[in-house]
Amino acid sequence: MTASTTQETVRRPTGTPLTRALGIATLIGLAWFVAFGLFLSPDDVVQKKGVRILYLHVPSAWLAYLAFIVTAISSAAYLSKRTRSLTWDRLAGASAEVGVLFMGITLLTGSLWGRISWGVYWVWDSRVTTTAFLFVTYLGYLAVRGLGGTHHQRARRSAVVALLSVLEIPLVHFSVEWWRPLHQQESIANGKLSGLMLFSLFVGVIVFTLMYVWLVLHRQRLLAMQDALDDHGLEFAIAERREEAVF
Amino acid sequence: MEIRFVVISYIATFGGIGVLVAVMLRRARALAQRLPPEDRPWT
Repeated sequence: MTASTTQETVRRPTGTPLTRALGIATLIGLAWFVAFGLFLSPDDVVQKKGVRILYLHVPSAWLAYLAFIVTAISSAAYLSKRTRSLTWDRLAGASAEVGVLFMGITLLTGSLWGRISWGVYWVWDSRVTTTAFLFVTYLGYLAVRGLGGTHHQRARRSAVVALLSVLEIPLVHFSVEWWRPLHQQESIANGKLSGLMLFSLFVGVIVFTLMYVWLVLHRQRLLAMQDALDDHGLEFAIAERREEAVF
Repeated sequence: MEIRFVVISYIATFGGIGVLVAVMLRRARALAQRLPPEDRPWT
């Protein structure tokens, strides 16, 4: 590896040609999304301009679900003896972090949309409450990951939490059908969105998906570097102790 | 009020993600300087 290549990999330590292509595609998609979401799609008859918030709210919620499902699948792969690898654990952790970010966006945008449509930022209805509960649960999952111990202890502990936490997703998703809250039911499945509005939402889903993949790839490489540094730190400490023992 | 809330939601969403990305890449650069290249097999 030449000096310039080494310098380049330090400047972009988690980047590869794939992530660079993904990043460019995400930025192009983002420009499209803002153009359609803010300017080109029409106002809704009932919600007026407030509908534009839904182009953020719905994709971020869907991608947060996906992120938590990926966390659960990766955790199961780690727990399985045949596929046990810390790579699965780091993928689970990275996906959960991005999921928490997207769930936070869902709650924030939902709150702003609620102020326009319902007149209040927050209501304790079943959908909003279960979503907040899911958000707090995954904050707890990230806290569990931060507890002490070896990498494998962390992986085992957090995999169990992830497999239990993912059971909340059906509760959140079906809460609008089971308890009939203030939160509206499925708009897309019921055909309430069409034309440019549906297209704007579609662009939003694509952009958030690209963003999710890009963020998870970078984040899990960062976690790998953090783990490697922890290992080296331990090696350095042992070497120092050995030297102390010799003298 | 509506347009103000719409703009706030877009700025908060993409601004928040942007800040997170900046922090993440900065942290990655700091770690990369302390690690040998073999600990970054994807590069």
